[in-house]
Amino acid sequence: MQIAIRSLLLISFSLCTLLPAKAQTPYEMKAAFILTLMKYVSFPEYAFETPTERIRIGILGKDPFGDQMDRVLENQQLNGRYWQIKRAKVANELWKCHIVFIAHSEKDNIAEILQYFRQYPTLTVGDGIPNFCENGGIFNFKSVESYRIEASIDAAKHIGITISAAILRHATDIVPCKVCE
Amino acid sequence: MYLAPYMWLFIAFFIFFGINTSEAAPKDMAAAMVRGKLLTQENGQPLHTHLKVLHLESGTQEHNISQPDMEGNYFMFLQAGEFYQVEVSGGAFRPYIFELFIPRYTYYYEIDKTIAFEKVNLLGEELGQRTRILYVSYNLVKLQDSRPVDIIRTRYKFLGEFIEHLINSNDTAVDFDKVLPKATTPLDAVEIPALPDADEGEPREKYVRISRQIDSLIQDPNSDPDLFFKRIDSLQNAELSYLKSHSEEQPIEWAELWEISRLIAKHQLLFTNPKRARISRTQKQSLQEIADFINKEPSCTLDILAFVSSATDDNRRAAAKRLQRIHRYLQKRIDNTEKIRILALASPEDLGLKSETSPEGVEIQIRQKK
Repeated sequence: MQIAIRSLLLISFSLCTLLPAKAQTPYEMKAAFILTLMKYVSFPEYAFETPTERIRIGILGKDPFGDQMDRVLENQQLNGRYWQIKRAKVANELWKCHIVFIAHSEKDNIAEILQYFRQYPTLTVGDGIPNFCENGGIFNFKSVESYRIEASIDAAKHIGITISAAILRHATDIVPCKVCE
Repeated sequence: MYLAPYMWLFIAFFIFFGINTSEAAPKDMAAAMVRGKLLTQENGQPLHTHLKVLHLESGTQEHNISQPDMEGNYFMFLQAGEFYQVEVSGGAFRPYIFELFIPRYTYYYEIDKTIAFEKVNLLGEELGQRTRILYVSYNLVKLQDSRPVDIIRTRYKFLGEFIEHLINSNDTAVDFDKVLPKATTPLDAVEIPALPDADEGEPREKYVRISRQIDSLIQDPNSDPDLFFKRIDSLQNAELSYLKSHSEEQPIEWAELWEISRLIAKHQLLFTNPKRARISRTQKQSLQEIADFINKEPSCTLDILAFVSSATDDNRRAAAKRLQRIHRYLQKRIDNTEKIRILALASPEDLGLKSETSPEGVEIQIRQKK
């Protein structure tokens, strides 16, 4: 009897693992959002050394996108530049990235992380990180489940990045940067 | 009943996933991403048009619609496999209405329309304008025909353009939390149906409607429709048995059909190797073009005729395979599959044609209702 029950449970377990995964996550849309953001910002000239230098996207912390972004951006171009994706656990491994997505997992060290990126023309995007813009981040999703964004014009100006008014119009909050001088 | 502790873990796991799967979308529940452009005939002037989309069966209004922007771009997320009524209104007068069918497993559908505004006059006074569509083009992509990476790329591109459309819209501020979740399609949960194996007969029910129209030998209405089927009696492979299985159906009154339509174009797909059945890339392009044309022309249908060389059974088998492959290819691309008819699979001699004018191959005839 016990063998029969065990077998039944084991079969059920195996079947469960074969069922399709629950798919709807906000990160596919967030990824599309971040890629679109690139069209609404201008970098200072020195951000790119050559006209064909790749646009580097960094993902700092626990990567919520999986490999989809790599597959989407492979051999794709924006304004004549190919894309490159880098992942890291610490900020200084992403020092040459033009855009850095900072995962929610990094919320506890955010002041330190943003202090590092303020040295470079790097567009920082936070994933629901409290006080992100106050600490010098440029765009921040209001929460991990939300697509609403807050933005800091001061933080962008501080590193020579210009944000189009078209995107700023849709930001729920324009947050003053408290650490940008 | 005693169960070891790990058994309870299994039970808990089973219950958890049992609940979770009830939320998983059925395999064809992903909304198709529909986009289009409404352009003025003149020079792309800003269009003051409004789109209203009704689900035809339920009569309910669809809400996942993003209205045309200043460039005429609009976006919709609609359930595939359903019929819709789209209303384009340019003012207070009669709107332009068209029906839209999104075939199952479609994940991307592009509709471009060129619009003209007609003046509405009464007693010499201009009262306003109504819309009139001058040109339409359709392009749809189905899951079956795409590599997973292409599906993901198309999706990202679409979502990116949708976000841009929202950013550039006239609305003062878009609440992304209200709008973007509508565009979230559980594509990962969609099971991409594999292309049927060419050597495997398709399920019969797919052919039920067409089977009513399949017979043989169109040229002579008095000829014996069983002629073709008798000729292939000795062949046993799947393609031919599918065709043979329809020989018992009632023959269509071909002469009558012939009278109500006229031939407006024909296209031949030739195969230099009599044993070869693979459709080339160029041939696929021309088939796609034909499908696009048929989709946008409501009064047009197409007939497929395959010419069999009578030399060997292998040649006949290859010819039948070509016919079936071309038929399937078109079926997947033509919205209304009732517009496709297989008319004949026979040697040119049997059809009363000279073989040099109809070499080994398949002829597609585009017909228009008179």
